[in-house]
Amino acid sequence: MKFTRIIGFLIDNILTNDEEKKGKRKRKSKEKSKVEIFTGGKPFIELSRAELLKIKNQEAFIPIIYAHIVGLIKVKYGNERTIERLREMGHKLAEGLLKYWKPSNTGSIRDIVKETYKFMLYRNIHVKEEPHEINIRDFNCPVCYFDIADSDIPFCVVISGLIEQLINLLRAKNPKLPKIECKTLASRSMGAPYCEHLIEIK
Amino acid sequence: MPKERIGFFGKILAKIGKHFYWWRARKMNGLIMSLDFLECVRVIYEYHGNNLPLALKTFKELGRSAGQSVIYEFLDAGKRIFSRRLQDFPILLESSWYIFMGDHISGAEFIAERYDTDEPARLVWQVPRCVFCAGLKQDTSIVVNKETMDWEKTKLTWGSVVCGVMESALQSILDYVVLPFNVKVEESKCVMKGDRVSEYTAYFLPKKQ
Repeated sequence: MKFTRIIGFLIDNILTNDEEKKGKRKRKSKEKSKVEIFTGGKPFIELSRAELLKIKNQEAFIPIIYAHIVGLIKVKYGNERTIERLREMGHKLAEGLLKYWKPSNTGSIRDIVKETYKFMLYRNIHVKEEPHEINIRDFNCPVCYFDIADSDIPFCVVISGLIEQLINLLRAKNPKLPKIECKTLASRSMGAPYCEHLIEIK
Repeated sequence: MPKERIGFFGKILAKIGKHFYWWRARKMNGLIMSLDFLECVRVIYEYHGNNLPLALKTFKELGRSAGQSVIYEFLDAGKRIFSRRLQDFPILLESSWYIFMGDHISGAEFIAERYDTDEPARLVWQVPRCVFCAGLKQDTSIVVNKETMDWEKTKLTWGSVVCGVMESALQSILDYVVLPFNVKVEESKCVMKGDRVSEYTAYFLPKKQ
């Protein structure tokens, strides 16, 4: 039993996800060990949103819960109002996000989109820039649940809402950025092979 | 055929396996996850005419459906460590929590049933760093506290979606290993209702014949 615990403790230390814990852990008194092992030497903490910036979570539940919510509100509000509400949701997400994080390079829309995706989902996104429009293709959309491909609602309209509001709010800091409108052209939730958003420069 | 006990190699497999699955998983930043969660609750909150307890109840149901979908994918991999011994459930719980949240839970403990007080067997675990409640006290757009959640009556908290997910996940495992229990999960302590820490309790209720 003790041997298993020691092995488990070593595995957790070597493979841990928490940077703070790496190399810093020391065995302390038996009474403290339970709390201290799992919180990196700190007592239980109430996280602030700023602290969340350093934390990663798995995105598995988000598309499933989101798909259920879309199904639920669609019945009550109808398709048009549901799409509108999902865009509003994206706008609110962008407003919340900008309170705690801003892209470091706000020189071009392409850079903002790429950096935002990298920050939110830890991966790169395909962005194609043309004179008056920018095209975003996402083959692994975080909100389009893979089990649903026959919906009449583009689930990822929330993403286009987020991008639109994010860039339009960043204009306040960088007036060189143009006013934009972002539309969802294709969605995996509607059977497309990828999700596609079009940013139109006004 | 499910194992009777998890055993030494099962424990090691659980310890290593959780890191492998976490490494493979598609990840999302904690801030965007927390904000997304808040906005999802807000949609349901408005749907129910600004009734928070009803929104949390719906959210628990959504969590149950989500848990079923996700655990279904993991049943095949998990069968190597599932056992029929309830005392092994803290190990399963610690591993699955790490797979999904990338964080450790604290002191997951199995408490056997007490016949003198009719208390069912239960599994208790604490979450040192709850991402769901983070910064919510400073956000005035939805007032979340013991009163607005109507906790005394409903026992529903901000983490009710997690309760739903865990309820269906644990139930699926129990059914898989053919143990005659129904699971009910409650967030027994929640930062938003004034507790110092987030704590979940899973009750194992014997199925009626």
